[in-house]
Amino acid sequence: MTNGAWNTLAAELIKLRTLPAALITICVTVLAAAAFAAALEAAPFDRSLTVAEATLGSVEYVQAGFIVLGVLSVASEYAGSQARTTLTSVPGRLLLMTGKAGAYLLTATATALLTVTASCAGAWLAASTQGTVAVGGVDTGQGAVGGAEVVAGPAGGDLAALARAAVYLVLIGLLAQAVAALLRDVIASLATVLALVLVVPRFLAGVTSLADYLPGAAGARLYQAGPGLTPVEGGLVLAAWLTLALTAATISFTKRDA
Amino acid sequence: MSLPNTVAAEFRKIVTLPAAIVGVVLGTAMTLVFTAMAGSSRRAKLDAGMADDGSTYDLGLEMAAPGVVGVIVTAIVIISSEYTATSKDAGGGRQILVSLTGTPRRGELLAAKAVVVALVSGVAGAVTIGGGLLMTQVLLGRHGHPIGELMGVLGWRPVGAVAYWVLTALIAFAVAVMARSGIVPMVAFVVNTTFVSVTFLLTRVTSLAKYLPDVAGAQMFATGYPAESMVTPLTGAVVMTAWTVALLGVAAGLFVRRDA
Amino acid sequence: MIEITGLTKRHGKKLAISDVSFTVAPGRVTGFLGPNGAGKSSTLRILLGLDRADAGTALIGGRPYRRLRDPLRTVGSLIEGSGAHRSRTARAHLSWVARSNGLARSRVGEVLEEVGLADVAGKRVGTFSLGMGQRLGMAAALLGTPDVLVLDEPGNGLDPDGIRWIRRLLKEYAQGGRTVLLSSHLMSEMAETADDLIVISGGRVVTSGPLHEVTAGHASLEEAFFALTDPAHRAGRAS
Repeated sequence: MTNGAWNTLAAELIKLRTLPAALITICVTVLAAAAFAAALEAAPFDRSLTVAEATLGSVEYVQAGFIVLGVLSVASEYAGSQARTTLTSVPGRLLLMTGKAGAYLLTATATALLTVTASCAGAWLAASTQGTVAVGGVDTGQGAVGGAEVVAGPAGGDLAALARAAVYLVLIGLLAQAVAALLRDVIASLATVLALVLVVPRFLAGVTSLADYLPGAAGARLYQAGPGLTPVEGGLVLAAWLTLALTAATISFTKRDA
Repeated sequence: MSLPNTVAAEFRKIVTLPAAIVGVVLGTAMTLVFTAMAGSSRRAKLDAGMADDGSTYDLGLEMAAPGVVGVIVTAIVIISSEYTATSKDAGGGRQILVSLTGTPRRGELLAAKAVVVALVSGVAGAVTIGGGLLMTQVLLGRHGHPIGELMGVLGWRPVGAVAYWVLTALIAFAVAVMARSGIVPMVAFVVNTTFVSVTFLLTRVTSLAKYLPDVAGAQMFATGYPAESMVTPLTGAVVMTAWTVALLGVAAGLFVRRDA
Repeated sequence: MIEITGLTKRHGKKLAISDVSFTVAPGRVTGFLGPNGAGKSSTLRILLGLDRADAGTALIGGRPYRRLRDPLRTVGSLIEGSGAHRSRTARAHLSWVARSNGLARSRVGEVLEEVGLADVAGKRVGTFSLGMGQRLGMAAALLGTPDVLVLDEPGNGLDPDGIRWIRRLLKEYAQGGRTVLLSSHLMSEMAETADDLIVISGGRVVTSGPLHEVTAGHASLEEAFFALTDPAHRAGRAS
């Protein structure tokens, strides 16, 4: 190893901390999570949702924040000449990639925990507002259900689902990081990953069951029951996507000229 | 430098910008491929005895809403490429400095860019929507409809879909100008083209959301928009155009006033 | 001590450098000259482990750059401007660079002072002028108090005061027994600073040796440079 592993990780953490775009992304993601969960709770699509369900529903939206974080952690190197400084400071390519992945994983895990907590808080707040309405006697049926949930809070099974949702958020950003290492451009990487995770599924839905094997849809099975794959299958498919992307990124990053 | 010259210069920039080309071509190609897949899968279902509920007319328009992502990317890249630093980063290295010294009248520069965005997204939209409609009818085989009948049933809606592409691209362009970066509009607009779009979520929270640009604009071509009491197609066109003009106006105001 | 042996690099079909060999001795400032596209950058990028050579080796103290332990303690380098992300501050940039090589935090403040950026340490790099970016690049190069300096156009965008500072710094560095490889297009500046010269043209080393030997028989370094690197010019003089 050319550099100390801990030094490499610490340097990458400093980079993330001192990159304004990364900080803004984290803050916006956490706040947006609360807002989306509150909106889902306040105006559910077909039936009223529990706090945990509204939180899981918000993952669909806030995953974009983790994708941005993953892309920025690598592609920001190539906006300007910083990549040259990075590679002369840490010439070991594999060590550098590991350091970047480690710094992202630490930051993203903390962000994911904050995000899920903020989502729960937002949904809880929306639910308890409805509960207050019920106490005022305006609404009986709907409000009473909302009030009951507030008292109950997330159950054990819900907590496991919430934890798996946090894991999914971290992993989808890791996929974005790998794509960014391949493409070396913020906008191109963002467009690619967002299209793969959010846009293509909409095209494929109802046309072919292959849609279930896209990283977003497969990963969603980790925290939410749905059509297509089982949770285990979904996890394996997402793992396969990650393996593919990380392998391609590693080969490209170690072999290609800076 | 006259406006036609500036438009020509901006057109040349976009033609030589790989990301912009990839956006348009991929957006159009993907929409057509997936529309074709939808067409043949619908035919298989109809052959298997599914009743035709009239949706065979619409099939070519179904992918118009997600397909707009391609021109959104192109519209954003046209601006973000101006602000991306090349290797010499401190101070210079950004193309915007060359653009502004070449065309110091900023209103003209922005107008030229907007014209290029409108032209490119209009052509892409027309090719995609027109191609999609023709292709689905061919792929539907005996379940398809003659062109005359199809046009009669659809009326202005294909035109509305193309207008939706042009106006969406212009709005993405305006937001990118305001943000001076591609990240914010890219995330916002792409997230909003997903299954459960943000603006659609808002229609559940407040009825005012029906006046949001994409919700109102979608009424120009969509049937069975999954929310109630939406505006009429004509109102939708007016509302979305008003948004576009207003956002372009704000973007131009910022662009003219602030330092490069 | 830098040893380059038989270095060859292709970009597609085009040969960027071909069988380039030279050594850079400690205790001297070695100038690296050549027209645009002659292969200077390709050579320096391979030397710094940024690009891979198709053949040959580039060693620093007997090891390739990618094998150096905490490389900034051995080699300080400057290529193409600041090498910093535009939205980070100068201090934040140097902080991560220092951390990656386990250098003391106090070095950040010291080098900022040394290159004259102490007053703007908290400003974003995007607001810097070309010369300030260049000074930040120098600060990163000096951070690990390296034994070897590899600098590509360090005077680029610097004011006269900055150019004089670089010249003095490089001479002091060499006098302390350290190794300096300096690439520049400014002939008069090079003539004042360099002890040895390596001239590269068309991807090949055309001459190398002490300054006075390379310039022998020419009115100035500039004259010598044109005579060595421009075949048409050479033919013109011969006739």
